[in-house]
Formats: sequence, C-alpha cells, structure tokens
Amino acid sequence: MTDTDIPVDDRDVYITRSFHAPRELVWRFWTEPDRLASWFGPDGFSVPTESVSITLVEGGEWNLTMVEDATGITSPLHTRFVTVREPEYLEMVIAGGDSNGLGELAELRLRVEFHDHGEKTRVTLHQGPFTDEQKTATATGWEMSFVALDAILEGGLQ
Amino acid sequence: MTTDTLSPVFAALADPTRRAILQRLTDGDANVAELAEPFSMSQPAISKHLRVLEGAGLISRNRVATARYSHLEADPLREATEYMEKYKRFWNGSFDRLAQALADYQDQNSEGAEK
Repeated sequence: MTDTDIPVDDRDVYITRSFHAPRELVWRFWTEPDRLASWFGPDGFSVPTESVSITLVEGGEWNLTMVEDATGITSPLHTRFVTVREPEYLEMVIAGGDSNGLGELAELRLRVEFHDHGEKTRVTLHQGPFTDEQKTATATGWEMSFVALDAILEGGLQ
Repeated sequence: MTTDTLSPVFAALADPTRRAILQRLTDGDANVAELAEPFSMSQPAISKHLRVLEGAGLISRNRVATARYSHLEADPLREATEYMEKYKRFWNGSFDRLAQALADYQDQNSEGAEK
C-alpha cells in the first residue's frame, strides 16, 4: 500500500477500446444472441447461446448465463434495457438475485457507447451504480460539452 | 466484502477534502489541527469529515492526552481498489474476446474481405 493506491474516483468503472470493425457489426455482437455468446465473460467462462435472450427494446431483457469452464458453475445475468438507440447507445441495469453467484453485480448499471470511426469502432463502457447525484453530474457534463461545441461551430462559421 | 459494506467507503471517497485528508494520513497520524491546516476550513468542518471517514472504517481515532489522533486504516481502501480492479479485469477480458470474435467473423465473411 502506497499513497498512490488511494482511489481518486467513486466506484464507477470506465473501459474504452477501439475495435477493428464497423459500428453496425459491433452493435450486432452486443445485441444478437449467438454473437454475444461468442465473446461475453472473462477468460475461463463460456456463455451457451441457448441461455441468451434479448428483446431489443427499452424495458426489454438482455439475459445470459455464464458458465465457468473448470467447474461448470453457472452465473445467470438478468439485465433490462433502459435505453436503446441503435446503433450508438445502450443503457441497461443488471438485476441481481441470489442465484447469480455474482453478488456485487446486482443493481449495476451499464452505459455503452458505440462511436463510429469508419472501419473502426470505439466502444466506451461506463459501469456504475449512478446515484442521482452522479446522474446529474454526467448530464451537466454533457450539456456543457454541447454548449462548448455549439460555440466552436458558431465561431467557425463567422 | 459486499456492496453494502463498500457503499460508505465509496461515499466517503467521493469528497475531495476527505481524499486529501487520507492522503495526508499516509504520512502518519495527525490531530484535527494538523489536518485542518492545509485547508481553509474550520476544525469543526474537518471533524465532520473525520466522522464520515471513521464511519466508513477508513480511519480510526485514538486519544493522546487531550488530542485525538486520526490513523489511516488501509484495508477498506484496499478492498475498494480490488472491487474496481475486479470489474476492469472482467471487462478487459471480455473485450479481448470481443476483438478476437470480430476478427474471426470478418475473416470468415466476404463483407470483411471487400472493405
């Protein structure tokens, strides 16, 4: 333990990654059962395609079961879409349950952005409990970004 | 460690003053006057922050003569860090597999070859 180990943020997790694939294809890998089953979960886990159930509408489900290869222990994940904006944004809430074996994954919220960069796609994943305070902060942050963008665009047109 | 136990830890860490206090305590125990010194804050205000940190288990306080000394407790911090690292490993591992799955898919499809 050194002084640099002190977390300087709240419990939100940000992960961003650029994938060498067009955005529509990356979107399909998140929203089609057989595609999602081919990658979801950390090393040592598999997702049986038949365990995946997706209803791609707001309020719809995004359910799957992770199976630990070594032990066969199953971890069902029950998730509900909060926002679906094809092909750029997904927001969902992971509803826990004692049976999922993941405990802390319960009630987590995921925001996934798909940024179009032609042949590449940048995926930004934001995981958090998103308290009301944090939601407001995020919304304010976006508003400020757009205000700044507007100012730049106006300046460029003059 | 459950989410319920970690919640007060993350709530305590959300405040910049409290993070600065923890940072200061990595140099050694300190009383409230010493902790208040770098901030333009009253000692009662600092004491309030100390109570939050104590409630989250991030510090303990011992009385030495008339002064109370705050002591950094490392375990909750380590657990909070491990919580974050666990999810980063989860997603980084999944994203490695997604990159591979996308590459495999495009190799097998003419769409990929035409681009």
